[in-house]
Amino acid sequence: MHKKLLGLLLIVLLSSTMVFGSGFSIYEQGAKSMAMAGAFVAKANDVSAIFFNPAGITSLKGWNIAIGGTIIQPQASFIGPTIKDPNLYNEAETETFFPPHLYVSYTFNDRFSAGLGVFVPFGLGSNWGKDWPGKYLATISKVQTIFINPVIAYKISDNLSVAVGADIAMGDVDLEKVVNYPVRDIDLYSKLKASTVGYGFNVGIQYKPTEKLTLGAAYRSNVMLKFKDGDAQFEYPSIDSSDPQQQLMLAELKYLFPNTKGDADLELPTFTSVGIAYDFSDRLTAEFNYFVIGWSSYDVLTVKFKDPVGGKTESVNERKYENSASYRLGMEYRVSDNFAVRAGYLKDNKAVPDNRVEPSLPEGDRNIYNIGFGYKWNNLTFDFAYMLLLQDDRKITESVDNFNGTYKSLANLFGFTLGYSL
Amino acid sequence: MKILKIFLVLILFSFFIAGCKLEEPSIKKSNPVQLNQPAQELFMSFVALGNSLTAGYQSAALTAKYQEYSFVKQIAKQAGLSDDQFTQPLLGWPGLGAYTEKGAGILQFNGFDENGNPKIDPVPYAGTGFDPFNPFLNAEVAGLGRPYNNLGIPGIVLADVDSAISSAQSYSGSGLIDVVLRNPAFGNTTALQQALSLQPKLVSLWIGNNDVLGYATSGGTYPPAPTDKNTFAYLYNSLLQKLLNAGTKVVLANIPDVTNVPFFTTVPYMVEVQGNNIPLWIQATDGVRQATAEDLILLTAKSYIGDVSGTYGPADVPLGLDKSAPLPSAFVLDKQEKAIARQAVADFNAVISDLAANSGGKVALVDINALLVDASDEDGYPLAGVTLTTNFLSGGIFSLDGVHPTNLGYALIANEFITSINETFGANVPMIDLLQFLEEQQPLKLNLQKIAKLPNMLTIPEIFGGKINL
Repeated sequence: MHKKLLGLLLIVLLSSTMVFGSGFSIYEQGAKSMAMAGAFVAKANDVSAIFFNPAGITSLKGWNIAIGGTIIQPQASFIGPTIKDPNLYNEAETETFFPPHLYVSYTFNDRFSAGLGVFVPFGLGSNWGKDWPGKYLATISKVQTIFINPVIAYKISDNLSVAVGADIAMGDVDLEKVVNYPVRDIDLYSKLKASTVGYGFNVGIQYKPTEKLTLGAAYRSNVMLKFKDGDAQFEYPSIDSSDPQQQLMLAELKYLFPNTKGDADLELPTFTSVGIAYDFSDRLTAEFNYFVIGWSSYDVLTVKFKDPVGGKTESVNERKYENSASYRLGMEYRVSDNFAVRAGYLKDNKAVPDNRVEPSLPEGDRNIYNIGFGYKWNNLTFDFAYMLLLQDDRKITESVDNFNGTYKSLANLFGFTLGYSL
Repeated sequence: MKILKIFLVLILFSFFIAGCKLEEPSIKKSNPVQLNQPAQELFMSFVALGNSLTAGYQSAALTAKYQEYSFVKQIAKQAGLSDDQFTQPLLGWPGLGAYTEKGAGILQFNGFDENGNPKIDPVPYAGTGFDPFNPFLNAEVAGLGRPYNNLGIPGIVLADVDSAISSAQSYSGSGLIDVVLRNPAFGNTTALQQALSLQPKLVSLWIGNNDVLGYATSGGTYPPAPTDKNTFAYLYNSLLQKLLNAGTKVVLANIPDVTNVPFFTTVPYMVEVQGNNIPLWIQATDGVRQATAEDLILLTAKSYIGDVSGTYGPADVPLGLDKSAPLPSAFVLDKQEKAIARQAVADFNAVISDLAANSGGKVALVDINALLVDASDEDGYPLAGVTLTTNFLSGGIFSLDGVHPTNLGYALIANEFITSINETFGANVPMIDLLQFLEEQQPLKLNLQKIAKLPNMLTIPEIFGGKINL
């Protein structure tokens, strides 16, 4: 049985990663916390604490290992654009993403613990097809960041722990769209691909004023991803090669839109969370978190080209994201010593202002409902969570791109984490 | 183990029942628009009065290929009118225009030269079979037994609409008056008279541009001043009243500011000489001096800057680069002239908007000036990811003469007219789908299954001498 489950997980692990969250963050990094709407910064009582609040690992004993992932199945549609047809229904291709997570921690003694986490806290993917009315804005977009996060935690006293960690972030972007060459009104297909490594840190603190009350706070810093020498590639219209006029046009296109290299800086936002957890009884625990993503760091995306593209050496895309807050409430009820059921609700607020919403990231305010359970079998734990993400319909009327219409989106997420301790 | 099995069943079950789906709407696109009563009435007889902008003039000539995209033809098409229901004086290829006297028609873009500069040349008449003395596309167009619905005449001024019957008897002297009005066959009637004889229900009137453009595009030389504003107000009012008295609805457009038109904004006032930017020497109203950012160098000056032939100044002195060889006044709209032109535009537009506002709902107004002001800022005119600007050649809105719109530019204008007609008269004429328009105009289609390959990439830089200037 275990082997089969592990096999299933590994199969999905090998498939591609990625998605969307508020902005493009992913906070679903462990099935236990996910079932409680991510309200976990105070309690942080399994090894996924490395992500949520590393101070929490001081409460663990010996070796702890967890591996898992979240299956994310977003669906998105756009009705419009009004300049074409206010009723035109466009559906993004439904894709499945699988950001995995892996955590290891070891508690050396009463005071010291150390851990290592690997997770994907940012990603997005949208695929509207290569020929749709928004093709000049986005066709296929993918952003992915894998974080490797070693941490050390220290128990100052029996009820106070602190932790600090380093983030090594590997970022990949892959952005495709159609561009128009206005001199001759010809379309080209553009692909930007780049990857890089950036660095950051995280800190956490956990405090238990009473036996039943736990407070926690955590902060994860900005990570500056400096993409260097990314590939900017263009695909050109096919021509009748016996027509000298068309030959000339193609030569012109290839000259003006050369396959070249590009640099871009993308500053990933901060994560700040504070939380309070309370044990109502031996069986029932509830936690509330307030969580802010510092998206205002994503103000403008400038791509600098090595050779001029369309006569320009840089392409400037204003993003003007805003900080986004979410309110998370989660509960756990321990039915027996080895079985717990969990539920949660979270209200997630948009990071992209109305006039800047575009199809590569069709996000908005969300109501998110979660349920799940955990089962313990000797040294092994298995956690499962289901999340239903319902996004408010977002009607855009003042788009800076003149791309107005209504975005609709929802997502089903399934989280699995398999833990082992010894 | 039993409980694990139950879990597995629960998990699998949740995939099926909990996998919520996004609801698809019942309507996935709009049905074709049925014109409502007001729209049907307006377009029972639709007539256009105006100048080159109404005629569909583009890239320095009037010719059928582009007259098909005159903004009034595009409006008529949106309202469901056939070619017979909305007739135009279609001319053969390469058309009549600014280069007719030199034996050529429309300007064409022929790629870039060895210095990376765009090659733009008029198409010579030789070899095309075009006869400037019988320029019509065919005998049917030439012999149409009634006035054309599109009575836009390139080059005419406001005063001509209600008075000119021929090139010889007109204020502007535009040769195209004879072509469009076809007098004396039509009883020596004016454009206004011909329009009214069609018993219009809706008249498009976009006039007055040449009352200031003539002054501005000649660098303030010919005519030496824009039309007087009081004269303009009197003529405009009397023309509009005659139309309204005939019982037609009217849609008016105002006049774009010259500083948003690429003819005036493309050529920089400084040239690079051995790595240094040096302001051009110009013949300005206040004497010979070096140009500043306040002066506008006209597009026509482009090919003469640095000329040493002696045609425009002393021989062997590069024109514009030395005090002794300033750019002639006809190539420059200097600071004072620019102020005069802008004032005239503001005055004329005030007259037009006042008259529209006091018309009791019978007149719709289109703010074309605002459209171009918007398009000329740094964000341009956004179109779902394509940015149109008022830049010469690369902006997408203006054609190769730098004054008249492209097909797409005329489509933008048509949409502004349709919006105003719909709002003012309660009509429901569908807007032009600009994305579809962009798609249809493309000379080469992007086919992602079939990607182009050039046999030898090494030859490419040589074609343009290693650079292209956009």
